[in-house]
Amino acid sequence: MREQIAKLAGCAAAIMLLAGGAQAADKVGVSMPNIKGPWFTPILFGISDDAKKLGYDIIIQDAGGYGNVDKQVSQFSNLVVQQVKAILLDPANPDSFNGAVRQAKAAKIPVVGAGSPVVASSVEADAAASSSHCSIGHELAKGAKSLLPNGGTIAILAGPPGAFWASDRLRCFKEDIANSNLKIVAEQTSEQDAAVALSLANDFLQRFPNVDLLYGADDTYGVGAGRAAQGAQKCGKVKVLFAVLGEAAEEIMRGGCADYVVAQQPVLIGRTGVQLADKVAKGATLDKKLMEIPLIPVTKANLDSIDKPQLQAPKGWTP
Amino acid sequence: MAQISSAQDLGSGAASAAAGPRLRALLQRHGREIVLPLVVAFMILLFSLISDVFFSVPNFRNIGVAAAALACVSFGQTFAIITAGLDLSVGATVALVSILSAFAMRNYGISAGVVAALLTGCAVGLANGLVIAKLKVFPFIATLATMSIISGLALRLSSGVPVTGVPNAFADLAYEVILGIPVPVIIALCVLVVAALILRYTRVGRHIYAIGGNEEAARLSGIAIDRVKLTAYVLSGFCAAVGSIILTARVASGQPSLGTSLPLESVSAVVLGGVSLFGGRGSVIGVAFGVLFVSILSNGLNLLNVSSYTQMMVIGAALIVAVALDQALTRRGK
Repeated sequence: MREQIAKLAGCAAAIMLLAGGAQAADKVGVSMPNIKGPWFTPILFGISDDAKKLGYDIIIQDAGGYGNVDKQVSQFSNLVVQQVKAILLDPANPDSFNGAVRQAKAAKIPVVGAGSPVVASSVEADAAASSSHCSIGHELAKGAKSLLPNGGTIAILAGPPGAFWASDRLRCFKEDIANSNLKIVAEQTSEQDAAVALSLANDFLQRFPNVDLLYGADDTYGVGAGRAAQGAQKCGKVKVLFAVLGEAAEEIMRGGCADYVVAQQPVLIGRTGVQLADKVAKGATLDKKLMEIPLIPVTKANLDSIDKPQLQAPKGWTP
Repeated sequence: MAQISSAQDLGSGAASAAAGPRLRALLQRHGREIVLPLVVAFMILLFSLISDVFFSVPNFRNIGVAAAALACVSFGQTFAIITAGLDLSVGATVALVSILSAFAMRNYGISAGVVAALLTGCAVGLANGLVIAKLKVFPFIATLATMSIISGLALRLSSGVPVTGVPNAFADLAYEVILGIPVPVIIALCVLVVAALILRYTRVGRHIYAIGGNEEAARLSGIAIDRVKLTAYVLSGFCAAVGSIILTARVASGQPSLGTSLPLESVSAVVLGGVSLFGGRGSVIGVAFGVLFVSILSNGLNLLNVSSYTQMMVIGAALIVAVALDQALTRRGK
């Protein structure tokens, strides 16, 4: 028995040693609050694909949710210790990353925003590839106005509690509809989970049966809202508006239960982020530090004509 | 020469035959205390061989800073578990303390924030203790319920968004070192020493063990059960508050969702550290090794780029192995 255990331990150690020894290429670190879902998966696909072309190994650190800010800070520090060539960061909360990003800068490791224009509230990013969350809010407001030209009521699925991207989008959305005849009748934050979003949207439809529009902070919420409208047999009657066009969102739009999506280009964001990181790590001068990736308003009318490879990871791809 | 060798073999054979039962007896008596430090040492050796950055001062500092908050929370959890209880509200307590201390710090300075943090932690612990001792609600249910209440309160008070404006001098504490040791590690070591002294050398410490060992016997011997349980949960809340101070400094803001993984991680660290879930047995030194196990494992797996989903499975499996081992040792000890 003891011999068997010793053999097993020896094998495990040998396999791990081989695995460790095989990593010879330069490494780029990626720190994300989450790696699952239609937003993060395509970003990571873009990063992985271009990193491979540029000859980097990537180390992905997943904090497991927006609530785990402390874990993300720790994981970021782990990347600094590993002396990666650059770190791509989407901070769960930029206020929490001032110290950690300063540590990286002290270790001469560039920090690049990937999906976020900022990496820390008081330390500037070396570069960033992102769509502005406020611009998304403005585009969502345009969508709401075009869907309800004569005004109406809105119920808001506001995103995860404490997520700055969701609050930025909503703040700018609210600014734009402030002087219109669009009125918000309900607003709730919730976990970033399609089932939770579905329950919340169902509750909204029960409480406000005549609500005209459901707003989703991203497509996890949007798909939940679309399915709630579908369940209540109100597709088309209750308009559904949200950001990010993942596969499920596309499917629900084809089914007529999503009306307006502000699509970001997460694959392009990932690709651009890693290209910027490569340039900064090699000491190149950048023309522009912040590469703002354009947004694409999508309705059923233009759904088939948009450039999907920049929006979605290939089917079945996982980080 | 050959004869001498065989005589030596015979001698060593007899010695090892005698050493066998002795080793077994030693393992039965002190197995919980001996096994984990050995496992931790083995992990350090293994990760040092595999990763070229694991065995470095910056990485050990990193592990220390990441482990400090978990250590404080786990030391508090130890008090609750030794009474045969459980404190599942530690994560929510960390979040509430983070929000209230950030508000206090923003408006009245660092000292006010720290006082608010410690008072909040004690108040939550007191509430838990009252529900458990006076209302006779099972600790599992009581702290599960208070977890929900406190978590909702933290989100309500903060409107679900982080509380910013924490003084820079406070946030910098998480990154400062004294004599090469990060400040959060020094704080955790202070909590360790105080918790160890309380459990080992004070009357309340001995009463906590007595209640966990046999509550009825403790009652018959005149121990004020309710008061001791209250104290244990207040200590748990206090330690969670200290952990929250460390985390709040680290994330430089009050976070309403801070510490969500702490209930599982702290219970894992405590049980891995040899504290019996049935109460009455264990030490904070063992728990310190439990914390090291969880933190080194997490750090090592991160350095090896193992996905966080796999890490969750590994920590869950380690917890099951620890509890199963505890059960096996308890059965053998009977």
